[in-house]
Formats: sequence, C-alpha cells, structure tokens
Amino acid sequence: MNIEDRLQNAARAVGELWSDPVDTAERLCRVQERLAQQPVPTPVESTLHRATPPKPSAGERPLSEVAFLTVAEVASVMRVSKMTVYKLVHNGHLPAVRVGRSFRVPENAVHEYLRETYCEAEAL
Amino acid sequence: MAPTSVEFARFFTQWDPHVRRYLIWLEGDSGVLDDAAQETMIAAHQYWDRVSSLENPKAWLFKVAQQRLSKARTARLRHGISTDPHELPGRVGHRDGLAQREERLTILDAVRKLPQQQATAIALQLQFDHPLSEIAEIMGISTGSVKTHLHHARATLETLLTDVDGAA
Repeated sequence: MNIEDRLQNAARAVGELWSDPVDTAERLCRVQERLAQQPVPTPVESTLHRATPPKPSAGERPLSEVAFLTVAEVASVMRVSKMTVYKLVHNGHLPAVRVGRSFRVPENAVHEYLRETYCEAEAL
Repeated sequence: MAPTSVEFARFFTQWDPHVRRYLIWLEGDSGVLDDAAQETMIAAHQYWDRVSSLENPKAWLFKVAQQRLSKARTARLRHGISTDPHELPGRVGHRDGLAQREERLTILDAVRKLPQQQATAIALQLQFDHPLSEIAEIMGISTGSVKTHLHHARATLETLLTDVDGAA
C-alpha cells in the first residue's frame, strides 16, 4: 500500500473517533462543570493576526499609550535570541501585532510574560 | 454575551469532535489532548460573541486549539504527569481491528514527528479535506507556503514510514 493510501486510511479511522454521542455528552458535562467553577472569565488570547486591536479595560493603559517593541528589542530585554521571541509569538505565549511582515510586541505583554513565567519558575 | 446552555451544547456537539480529530494529528498524549480540547471549548464560550458571529468558526477554533495545545504541553511538562502516548482517546469501534489500530498509530506517530507547520498542513488536508486556500487561511500563511509544507511533509513521511516498515 502506498503512503497516500495509508494516510487516507488513517484519516478515515481518526474520522470515526469521538463520534459516540454519549461520550460527547460526557465531555460537554465536564466542560460545563468547569465553566460553572469559573464564573468570572479571565480570557487569555493571543492577539496574533487579530483584525481589530483589543479594547483596553478599566485600569489598563489606552492603546495610544502602549509602547510597542520590535522583536530585536524584546530579545534584548529578555536576553534571548530573536528566534526564541519569534517562537514565543508563534506559539501564542507572547501577544503581538503583525505589521506587514514583521511583529510588534506590546511592552506590557513582555513584562506580563516575564512576571508569569517567573511565578511559574518559583512554583517548581 | 454568554451563550444559552442549548446554544453551547449544540456548538460543542458539532465542533468538539472536529477539534479533537485535528489535535490527535499533533499530540499523542491523551491527557494533553483532552486538556487542549477542553480549553478550546472554554475559550469559545468566553468569546461567544465573536465565535457565534463567524460563518465558519473552524479557523478560529483550530488556531486557538493549537495555542491551547502548546500551553497544555507546557503545563503537563511542568507537573511531570504523562499518560501513555499510545493510548488513543475515544471508544474503539467494532470495525477497528488491532492491525488497523497499529497502522493508524504508526501513521499518527510519523506525522507528529514532522515540524509543526508541516504536521498542521497535512492534518488539515487529510482529516478535513480542506482546499489549499482554507488551510492557508487557518494557518495564516500563503497557499504557496502550504504547498511547500505539504510537499516536504509527504517526502519526510515517506522516509519515516519506510524506515518503520524496514525496522519491522
């Protein structure tokens, strides 16, 4: 059997997974339980490729005051390579705005990321 | 505005299996996959206004699923818990014989070894039969890049699967 047929067969087999309505209902219950446990949503979403800029909530700086850093500047602040910064942006760990072919990262997002990972490192 | 429970249940029933079938091409750890899929659906609930306004939320869901997968992997790594990577979630159907299951695991394992972009492109094409333009939209790249990723993915898979068959 050639590779293409094997890939198609695997795709067909995967297509049959999770088709049991009883299982789906169980998974829905689990998600609804989790939603019930977190009444106040604290969404963390990457702004990568976002069409409209995020609205600043109360207490946040308005967009006009947000300083944006280039990837090279972020790399310099974090003392890592530019490639590491690109990976963070692509993985969604660091929100960024796409400007043409380059990225701009909000300064506060870098501080937020460092604070978050610092706390996580402490917890290890 | 949050969805009603009926609205969300309908959405969940329609899209959760698709998200999981997409993620299984990228992740073999059933615990990580489950976490990522759950988080994706929770994100859809939180961003309901945006998600419900989309004609086809697949691109949004898959993009978020990929981000949540990355977070779930990091979290699982940090907590040091790992489930059996060969444990496939979901109930195994009657037609799913042992040989077919082994074959599927071999193929999925090979796809997961590919670079992320290549694995994503091949998963979207094989599993959902998306046209190149839709894969490009979901991945946020050009159709030319999608073609390149698919070409390299197939070439690498051929080598990987031939090696596996040779070893067997």
